[in-house]
Amino acid sequence: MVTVTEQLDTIERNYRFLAIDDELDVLQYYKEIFRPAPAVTDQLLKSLADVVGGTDVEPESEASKYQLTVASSGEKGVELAQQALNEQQPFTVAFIDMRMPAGMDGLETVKHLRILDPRIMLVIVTAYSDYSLEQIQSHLLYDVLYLNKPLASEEVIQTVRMLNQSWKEREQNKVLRMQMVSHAKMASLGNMAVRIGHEINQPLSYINGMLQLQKMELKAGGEIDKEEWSEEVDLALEQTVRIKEIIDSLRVFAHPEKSKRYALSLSEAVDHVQRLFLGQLEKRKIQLEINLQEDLPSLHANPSQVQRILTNLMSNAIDALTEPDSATVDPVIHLAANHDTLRNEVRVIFEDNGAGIPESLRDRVFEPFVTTKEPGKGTGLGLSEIHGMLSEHGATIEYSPRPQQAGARFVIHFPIDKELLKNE
Amino acid sequence: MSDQPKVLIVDDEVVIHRLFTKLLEKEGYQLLFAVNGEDGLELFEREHPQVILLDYRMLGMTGDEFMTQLTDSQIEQTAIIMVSGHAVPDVDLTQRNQQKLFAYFEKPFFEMEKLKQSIHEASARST
Repeated sequence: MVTVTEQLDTIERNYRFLAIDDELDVLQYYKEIFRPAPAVTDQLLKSLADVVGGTDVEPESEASKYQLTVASSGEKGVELAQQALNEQQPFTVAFIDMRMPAGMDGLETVKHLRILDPRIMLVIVTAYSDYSLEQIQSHLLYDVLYLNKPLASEEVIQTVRMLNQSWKEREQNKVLRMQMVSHAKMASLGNMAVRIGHEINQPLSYINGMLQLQKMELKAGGEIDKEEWSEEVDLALEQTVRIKEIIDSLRVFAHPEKSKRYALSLSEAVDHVQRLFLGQLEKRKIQLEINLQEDLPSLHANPSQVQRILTNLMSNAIDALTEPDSATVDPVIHLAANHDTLRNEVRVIFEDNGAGIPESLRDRVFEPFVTTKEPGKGTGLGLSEIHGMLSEHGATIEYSPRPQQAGARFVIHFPIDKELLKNE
Repeated sequence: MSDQPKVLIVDDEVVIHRLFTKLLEKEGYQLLFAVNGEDGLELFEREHPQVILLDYRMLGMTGDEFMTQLTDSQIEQTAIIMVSGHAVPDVDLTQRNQQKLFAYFEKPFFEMEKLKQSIHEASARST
C-alpha cells in the first residue's frame, strides 16, 4: 500500500515529457534546450548568478531538470508512452509535430495518446500552412495547446514548465480528493452500521414479537380471529420485504466498481420508466411532462442503475404528490434533459410540485436513512442509493428547491465521454 | 375509561406501536402513542401515564435525553421501561437515568410475555 505522501511525492518528482517529430534536427533542438547541465557548469553558473545577481542564467539550469524522451514518429511516441505507463512513470507533457507524412500524422498521434493516457498534456507543433486552427479544433475535442514552428527555446521551456506544473497539481488534487473520499467513507461507515442495525431491528422486532403473541394465543387454546391475524401476517411479510430492500440497497455501496456500462439512450430509459408508472400516474391523476432534447448523446452507463435512479426519483415524487395530509392539487412531474456542450454533460432535471423537502433536511437528503416520509413508510435509502450510483458514473446530483414555487427539484449532471462511447 | 392505567409508547416505528397494541389491548390499559421524544414529553405532561415504553434511538431526542427532561419527582410517579435495539444502559444512559430505569428489554428478540409482566408490575407499583 502506497501512502498518500508517497503518491504526492512521486507526482511531485515527475518531470518527464515526450517530444515527437520526424525531423531529426528538431529532435536535436529539443535535446539542446533541455540538455542536462554538467554538474560543474551548473555550479559555476549558480555562483556566477550570485555574483552578477542576474536571473538570465536560471532558465538553463531550470530546463535541465525536465527529463526529455524523443520519438521520431507518432507510432514510436505512442509506444514509448505505453511503456512509460507500464513502468508507472507516465509522461506529463507531449509535444507532437503536426506534419509527419511517413506514418501517423500529428492528429492521429494525439488521438492515440489521449486514449492511452487521458492525463497527458498535449502540445501540437505546427506551421500555419498545414491546417488552420479551426480545422485542427474541429478534428479534436481535447484540450490541446498549439505552438508554431520554428520553435523558440524560451517558449518551449515555459510551455513545459507550465504544463508540467498543472499536470502535477491536477494529479495531486486527485490523490487528495480520493483520500478525502475514503476518510469520509470510513466515518460514515460506522455511522451507517448503527443506522442499518436500527433499521433492521425494528421490523425484526415486530415479526418476532407478533409470532410470539400468536404462539401464546395458540397455546392458550382460545378462539383465533382469522381476519385479525391474517392482517398481522401480511404486515409481518411486508416487514421481511423491508429488510430485504435494506440489504439490497446496501449492495450498491459494497461493489460499486462491478457494474457494467454500455452506450445508453436516455430517452429509451425514460420511455421504459414511464410505461412502468403509467398505471400509478393515471390512478392518481398525476400529469407527467417529459421534455428531452432531440439529439441527446448516449450515456456511458449501467442501464439497470439508470433505470433504478429514474424509478426511485419517480416513486419519491409520486409519494410526495399524494401524501395523505397534503395531497397536491393538479400534481405534475416534470422531467427534462439537455446536452450542455460547454461542460460536455447531459443535464437531467427532475421536479414535482409537491411539498418539497423541508429546509432542515436539505443538506442531508442524500445521506442514508434520512427520509421525509412518515415513520415506517420509507427506508430513507432511495436518494442515497441514487447518489451512490451516480458517483460511480462520475455524475453528480443536487437538490434545489424550485425557484419561486413549491416542490422538489433534482438536477443530475452526467458527463459525456466520447472516447468510452466510441469503444463500445 | 379514565381510571385505566395509562401506558405511553414512545417509538419512531409504527409497526412497534402496533405490536405493543396487540400485546396490551386486552389487558385493560389506555394506550398513548408518540413517534418521537418531543411528542412523548407533551403527552406525558398532559396525560401523566403510569408506564412509559421508551425507545432509545429516534429521530430527534434519544431515550436518554427524554428521561433527562423529566424531573426526579416526575420519574418517581411513572415507571420507564426501555425497549431498544441500541442502547446498552450502562453505556448510553447517564447514571441517574440508569438508576431510574424500571426495566430494560433488548430489541429485536425480547420475550413478549416478560414485557407484559413487567408492565403489569410497573403499573401496580405506581398506582
